[in-house]
Amino acid sequence: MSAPIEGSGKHVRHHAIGMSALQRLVRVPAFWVLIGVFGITLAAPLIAPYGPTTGDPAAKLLPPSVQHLMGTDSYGFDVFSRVLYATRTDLPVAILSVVIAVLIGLPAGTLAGYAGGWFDEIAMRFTEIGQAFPQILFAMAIFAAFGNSQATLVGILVVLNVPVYLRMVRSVVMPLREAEYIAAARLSGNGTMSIVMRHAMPNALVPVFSQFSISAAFGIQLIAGLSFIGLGVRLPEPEWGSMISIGAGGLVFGQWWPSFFPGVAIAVTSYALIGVGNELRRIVLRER
Amino acid sequence: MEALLRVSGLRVGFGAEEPRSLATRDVGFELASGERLGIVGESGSGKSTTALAIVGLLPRNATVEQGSVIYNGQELVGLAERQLRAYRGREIAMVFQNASTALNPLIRVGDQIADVVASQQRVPRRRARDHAVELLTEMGIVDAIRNARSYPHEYSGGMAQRALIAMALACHPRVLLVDEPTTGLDPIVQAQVLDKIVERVVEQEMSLIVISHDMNVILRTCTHVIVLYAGQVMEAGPCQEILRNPQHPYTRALLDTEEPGEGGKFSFIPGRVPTLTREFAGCAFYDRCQLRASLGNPMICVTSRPPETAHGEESRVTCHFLSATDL
Amino acid sequence: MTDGPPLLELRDVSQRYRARGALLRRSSVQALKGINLTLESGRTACLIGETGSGKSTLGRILVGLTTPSDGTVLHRGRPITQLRGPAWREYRRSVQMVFQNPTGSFNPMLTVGASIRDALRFSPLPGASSVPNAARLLEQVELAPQLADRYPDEVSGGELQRASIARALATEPTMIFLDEPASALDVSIRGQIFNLLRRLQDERGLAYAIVLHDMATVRVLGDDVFVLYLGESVEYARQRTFRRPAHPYAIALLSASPIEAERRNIRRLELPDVGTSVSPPPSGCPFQPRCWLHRELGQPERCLLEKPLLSLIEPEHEVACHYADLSLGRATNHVRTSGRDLAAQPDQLEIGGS
Repeated sequence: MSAPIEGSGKHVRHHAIGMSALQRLVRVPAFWVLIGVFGITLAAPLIAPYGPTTGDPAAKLLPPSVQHLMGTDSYGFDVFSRVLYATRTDLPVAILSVVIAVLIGLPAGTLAGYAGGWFDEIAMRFTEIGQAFPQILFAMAIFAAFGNSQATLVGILVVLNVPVYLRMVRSVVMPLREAEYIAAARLSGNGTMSIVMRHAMPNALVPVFSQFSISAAFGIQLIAGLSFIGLGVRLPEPEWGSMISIGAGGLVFGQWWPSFFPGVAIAVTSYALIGVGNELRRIVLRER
Repeated sequence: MEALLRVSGLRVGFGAEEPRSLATRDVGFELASGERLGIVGESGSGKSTTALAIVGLLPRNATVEQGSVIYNGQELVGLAERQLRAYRGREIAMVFQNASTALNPLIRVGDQIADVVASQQRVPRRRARDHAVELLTEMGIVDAIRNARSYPHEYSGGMAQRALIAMALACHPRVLLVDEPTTGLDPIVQAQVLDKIVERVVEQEMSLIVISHDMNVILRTCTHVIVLYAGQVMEAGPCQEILRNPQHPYTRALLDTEEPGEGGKFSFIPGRVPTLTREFAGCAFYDRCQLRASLGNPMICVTSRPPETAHGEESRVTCHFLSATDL
Repeated sequence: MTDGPPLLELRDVSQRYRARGALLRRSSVQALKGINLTLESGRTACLIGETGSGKSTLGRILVGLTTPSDGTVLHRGRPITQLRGPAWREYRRSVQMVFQNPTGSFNPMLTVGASIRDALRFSPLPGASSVPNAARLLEQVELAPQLADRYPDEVSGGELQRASIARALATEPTMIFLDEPASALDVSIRGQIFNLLRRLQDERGLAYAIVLHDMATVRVLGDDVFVLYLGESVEYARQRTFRRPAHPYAIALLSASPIEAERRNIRRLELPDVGTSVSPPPSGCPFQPRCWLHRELGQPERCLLEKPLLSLIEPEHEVACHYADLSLGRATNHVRTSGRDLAAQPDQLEIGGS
């Protein structure tokens, strides 16, 4: 038996020696689903049998068949192709807006939580105002003011997400003020900004990881909700929510496929995002 | 006399993957009625695990692989949770480490104790509260009525420890188990709390098990002691005898560290307690043993497990070189 | 005696907190009152006191983490509140701290090495924040360089505390404040920390202010001893004179340590345990409610009416007690009312260092 080496550490709690983050991720099914969804986003034109807006009005509302795997909708478009192409609308918008929200919310929340003072006051007022509005109404107002475009959509999602991250990060960082290792960092000579960037923010990242994917998933659902009422993405752009909306009227008549498949797509993508987010959080926390 | 509590061959493994690490390897000891036994060893020796195994509160990833815990003739290992509850608290009460986190910060201390009294003894609330005040007073808390209405954060470390012990004694158990009762306490308070524990235990004719990494704590409170290292009993016997004539090199090393430094140098045991698997052969203490160096690193210490041999009237030692420790 | 102003000095330092009392009760807590303390290179000042004595607050003030509500902290003769720019940075790097609990003092998201390298950024030495420099520091505290790649929760308490010392050394300090550096560790490895501190002091001429509980360690390690009770200094002794501690609280501490009690033939002394919600100290001596000497002397009124001030009872030894000359005599097993000291055996109490 080998001798206990000074400094060799206790039994190593974190993931088996040598497993990097990537190796952990590949073992999670959600990761592959997400890869698949990203793949579709990139390769949609290659995979889809038809264009998103090529259709034959005579061929409308055909049930799923060999030529149309998911049937056709009321415009005669191939549902399958539109489901695939819709990834190019939903995903980039959802993910981009969350990324921007984190880029703003993370440093702002850390500074507010650690330094407090006037910055914290202003930040909290902003989040309170931002979260006071019902989301759909807020979106409608912004669309009315700035026009119905994808850029506006991203902007709305950013504004809705920043308060979430700001508050979350702030609540994680605030107790750190008293943490001994923060005091130790001050003693070494770190100034406030240095502590915020090097010590406080990494800790704040932990909840961000789990929240990130949930936000993205909800973002997709919000986009879907907005296009359901005609805002955000305009017809005939393929977007899962608007597809559900268009097809909803036909459900009563037994035409389930135009709404069903986009719905499944949303669910699957949400699952993939949340699953990957969970694993990322576990990786950051070095849990088994 | 039939022992009240008999632990034998206790082997607790933990972890999900094979080979499992062993927290304890064949731990065995007896506790007679009215006896006070100390379990001493560094962090990682398996002391707390042994205690948790006795009361059936091992964490989820740890299981008793072998061995038995017989209390009053009844085997506790393998009992269902429902059956164990009859023993926990009522027969065997345990006070965990970290007194300050064991009390609910949102409930008044007196009420927490009264809760225990009320649930275990089925007495009305008012009587339970009075009893709680009595218990606090018995544990040496002054102004018990006012303090019973206070919240844990208003208690000093020593008071919190006393309150926890009062809670443990609320059900008049026959065995009291305290795990590191002096953590975080000032030395004066430590001495007082320890003396109080002994006083209560003796008066109520209970048995006591004290777990500590500090030999002084054991010597102050117990009549007998077992020295645990890497989950194995290295030495056991009456306190006075172990103190006067320690046989095992680990016991000697531990006692040495309690001595103040001479000439500016403090004594300590370099290295750390290893975590062993079932496959481990040889003596667990080999790497840190000062005796083996002086004996020229004998091979037997590496290849075969040292036997447990009786020594004196009531003691036993686990070492290959029993007679040679008189060097 | 060194020339020039002392390394670090506290002059009449007090600290008052606006406490959040239960519910809406506002009260202010006097954590420290009128503390005078001097630290010099190569010397170890032992701070003794129980929970609530203000020792931790004192430490934070020493290292500049807290500004006292009254009094001055002087670094090489200059008040630290007046230091700017390079002078402030010089103070900042030369006064460091080691915390009681090693686990809390390292950022759980960073490896031990990363934490040390962060401190190395402020080192005056060239080549600062590098992996080899971090390894060098780890070696100085007798740790393997591989420890740098581990996270704090993968390292044992004793190793982590030594890493904490390594981090404190990163800025090449001249003084380190240590708050009970070994009390969170097993008794079996405490000695390693103290031996290490001793060696580092000999090599680097460091000044230490160490909060300690264990009187035996104080005896071996301490050059100067300060005893704190409820925020006030009640005894101060330089070097050997603490062989004859005079304040009843200090003597009670000795009685609680089995080795010291036996060595000096001190009997068991009882001190009632009071909670944190203690009623404000009465006029007179703050220790009186718990004082064994007060009880034994028949509860003299002077203790209730007149607050004892720190006064010299022999060269380099001050005590705040009206009956300081009687205390040690009373505590030993052979009681003599003349107060002549019979218990101390000077020849055995050799304290290392200058």
